[in-house]
Amino acid sequence: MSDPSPDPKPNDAVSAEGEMADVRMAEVLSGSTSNADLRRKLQSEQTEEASDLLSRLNALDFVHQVVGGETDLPERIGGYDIRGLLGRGGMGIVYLGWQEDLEREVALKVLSHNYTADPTMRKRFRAEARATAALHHRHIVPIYDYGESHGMLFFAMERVNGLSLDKHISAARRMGKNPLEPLEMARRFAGVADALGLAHRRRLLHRDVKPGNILVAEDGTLALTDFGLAKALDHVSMQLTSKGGGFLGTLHYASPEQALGGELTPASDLYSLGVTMFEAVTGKLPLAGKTTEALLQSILYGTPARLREYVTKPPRDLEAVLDKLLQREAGDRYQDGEALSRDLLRISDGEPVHIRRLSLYVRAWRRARKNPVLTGALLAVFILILSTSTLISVLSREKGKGRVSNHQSTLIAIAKDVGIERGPTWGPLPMLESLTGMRVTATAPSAGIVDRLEGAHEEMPDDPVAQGMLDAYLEDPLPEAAAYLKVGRGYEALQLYDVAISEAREARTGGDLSVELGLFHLYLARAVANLTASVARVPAARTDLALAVYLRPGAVFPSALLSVLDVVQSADVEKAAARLNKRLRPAAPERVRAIALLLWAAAAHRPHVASNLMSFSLDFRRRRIVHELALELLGEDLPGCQLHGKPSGLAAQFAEAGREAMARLADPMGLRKLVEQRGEEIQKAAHPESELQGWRHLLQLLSQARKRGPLLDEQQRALPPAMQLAAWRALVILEPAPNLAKLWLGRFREFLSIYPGLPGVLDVAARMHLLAESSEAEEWANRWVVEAGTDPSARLCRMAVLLRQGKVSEAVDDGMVAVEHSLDADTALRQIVRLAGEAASVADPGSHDGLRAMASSFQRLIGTGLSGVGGGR
Amino acid sequence: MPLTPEVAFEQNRERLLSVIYLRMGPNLRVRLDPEDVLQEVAIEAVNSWKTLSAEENAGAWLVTLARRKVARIVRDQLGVAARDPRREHPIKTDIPIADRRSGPVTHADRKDRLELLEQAMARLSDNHRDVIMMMKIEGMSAREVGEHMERSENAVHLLLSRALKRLAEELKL
Repeated sequence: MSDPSPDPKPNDAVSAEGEMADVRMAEVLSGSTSNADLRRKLQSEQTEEASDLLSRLNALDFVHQVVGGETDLPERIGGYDIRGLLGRGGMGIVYLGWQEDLEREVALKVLSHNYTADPTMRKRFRAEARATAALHHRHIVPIYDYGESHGMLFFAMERVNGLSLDKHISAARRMGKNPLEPLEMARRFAGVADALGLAHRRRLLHRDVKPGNILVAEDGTLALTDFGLAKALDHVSMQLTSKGGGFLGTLHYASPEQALGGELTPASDLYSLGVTMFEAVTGKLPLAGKTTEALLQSILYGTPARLREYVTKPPRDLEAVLDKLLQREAGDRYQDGEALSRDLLRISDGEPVHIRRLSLYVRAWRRARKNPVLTGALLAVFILILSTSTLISVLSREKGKGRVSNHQSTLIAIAKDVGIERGPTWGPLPMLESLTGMRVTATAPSAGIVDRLEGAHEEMPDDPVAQGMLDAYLEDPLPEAAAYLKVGRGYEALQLYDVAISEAREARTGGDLSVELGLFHLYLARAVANLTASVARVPAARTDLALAVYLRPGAVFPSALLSVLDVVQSADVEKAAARLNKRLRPAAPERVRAIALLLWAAAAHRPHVASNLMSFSLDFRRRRIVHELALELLGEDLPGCQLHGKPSGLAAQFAEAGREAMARLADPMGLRKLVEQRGEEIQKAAHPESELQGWRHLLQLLSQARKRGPLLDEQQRALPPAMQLAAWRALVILEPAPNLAKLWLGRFREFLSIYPGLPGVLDVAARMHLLAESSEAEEWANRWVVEAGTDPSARLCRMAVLLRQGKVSEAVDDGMVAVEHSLDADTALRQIVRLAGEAASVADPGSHDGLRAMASSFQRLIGTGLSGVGGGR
Repeated sequence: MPLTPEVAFEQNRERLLSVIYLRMGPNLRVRLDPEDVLQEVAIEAVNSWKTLSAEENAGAWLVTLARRKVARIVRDQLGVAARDPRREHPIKTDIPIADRRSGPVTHADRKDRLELLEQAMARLSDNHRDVIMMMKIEGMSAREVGEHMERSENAVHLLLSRALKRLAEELKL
């Protein structure tokens, strides 16, 4: 073979062997020898030349991997000839098909072969076909056919000639132009809004409205496609992640509730449409962030940009429409697509629309409600990649054929597998323990992953990433914070986690996969810290959980926590509980138990003595629903639990301080010292806004028995009413003797007269008056019963008041209602017997016999399963 | 049934993105997202599809569009870029947000490989870099490359063979 190359040989240092290799490789490149054949042959040779050629083949493969070859097309699927590729979506590939019989082009969507064996994905794919087929609308791409061929699921849609909207937006952005004129946008999107309206009327949510799912036909008409995530409105509790892992939907266009995995409504789809419309006019997103975390923060707490920031003199009405669509609260947005469509058409025709704008005051208040700490702090970058710098340094040290790229691929593959790993159902210790008080046994980390990480480390001991990943996978990143968490001291743990998380984010410049593994643990732990009673910040916890789920979509513990929050924070707890119950039916027993324990603690109906989960202030009806669900899922009663309202965990320790102080009322010096010392402890251990601080203010209250006026903070300012109430509630929990309770009644009455409508004030008022044997006790107990309905605590409180007044038959009525609605009738019966017995011991002879008779008749019902009173359970 | 521009574009998507990414270089990528340029190429393909003759290969035609597009951008931006202090010290752009198709890891993986390739190619001689770029990334035939470089087809293969040896050395493969 001649070499007519005019290329001057560099100093002719090339050996004859090297030249041979050049030629052999050139033969491969010109196609006369096959790449694979040569590779097989070379692997058996042990020569210098063979290793030279192998490294050239490796380089060629590397380039091929980067560039990616042309996609191989199947010839035929179902009754369709495949003529080309139209796109790749989340679930599959869209081919251009040809239907011979009807001589027409179709777009053929085929479920990706990665998913064909996954029953969930098959079901979802079928659901998409069914959802779309049910919708006939000019602005929805229609479905023609659905079928299965050689194990491939597919459906045929109308072939729309044109590109998706995201391509138009992207191209316009590149050219520095606005993609669509505002009025033109309004006119075109009116149809899409109407199409969404139709889907919503048919009880379907799209859940993934974005420019990539809107096709622009040749005449400019927009058509909505890809109902891949569509779901019937009847079960809309969308989780942040799919079962297979990964965010469902596109975060850029997700509404705040979708980003947090909350309940979706038609207003969520319309929010996404709003973002799309905004981008279609301006080329920009109304809420942006350079990283996933920053974007998430922006969606949750940011203020959306307005049209006027990017477009000169935009139509005012259109700006108002977009403002309304992009409201953070779903209730403030458009509620149906038809109304939006009507407004858009009016705008494009130049007619006025009437949109109720939120008052300045409401907007300012909403803005102030933004979480100031999180908003400011989180601009940092956090998605981590294998640091190129680390690799390069390893590259320069290591000699070896393809080892580095293999090593890199191995680490990435392991990181992916950790991402989809279920992880310990209880979460890493001691998270579930801290929240529920229940002991659980630690789950061993996955041996497979540990083995593979150890293998990767041995393969390349100089690369710190493998060792770092192993450490991050096995170790608790912050044992001292975990120690706080274990005893419910979430606030102190939270502060340590805050520091560690910001450090991990800063470390990103030299970051690697190990930081990512560690961040998952940190976010999860901080979420748990935020959910302890000593902090009690649900929105912050939800953000952390969302981030944890994003980092490890497969992990069960964070999604279990989110499910529990969804139930206890739902506007309709009953429906939410039923939905969760249904969803858990096929779940693994361990997962069901973890969720049940969390529900049990969240209901706080009979909290474990060591539980530290925050209070969700559920009224009796909701508490009962959540508790009954927990009981059903557990299948048994839990030991070590106590009555509702008794402090547990860290709060129980604080209550102990209160009891000590109460015992020292006669010793002012000792009391002052105790109050100082324990007060400081509480101050340090609980978030300033946590209700647990009520125990500290109680100590103040005890040490200033004769003082009047509101409770004050260190700067002698009145405490917020909710905090004052927390202190009064703490006093009531300690059940001071009547003579002591009377000491504080006057001050409490002042508080009550200023805040008679404060949520939760009635039960404290009723019990305070009962304890102080006040003449107003019956009046307040009545008010509590009216508010609380069948809540047994309210009935028992009023019963105690009535017994003291000798009104036995009315007291019996309340006792019966309490027993009937109690979840644990025997406990209620015992309380009644005790109260009746106590009343009898101090009663005048006239009512004494009646009280005794009442006590013994209720006594007889204990343990009978309550046939006498109508059944409690 | 004739091939349509959308179909041709999707079939060559990864290749076009690599061409744009590498041709833009790190400095230009600071100010422009290669994905946006890619979408612009798609639109242009649709608009000028009629100019593609029947015997021309659509993939090669698209690569030419992409190359021209980047060349125009480089020319337009040169004046601005020269005055821009970032030109001297390119800032690493933030990692774009992972989309639904690729989780954070896969996305980073692909970008990492492109970046590794770019850095390795930057250390090759012009001839070696050009032959890899034209043949293996832009998909030109040996004959076309030969015409460009005034070499025979055999010489082009030999040059590519040597270029791969150097690339392997740079990548430590």
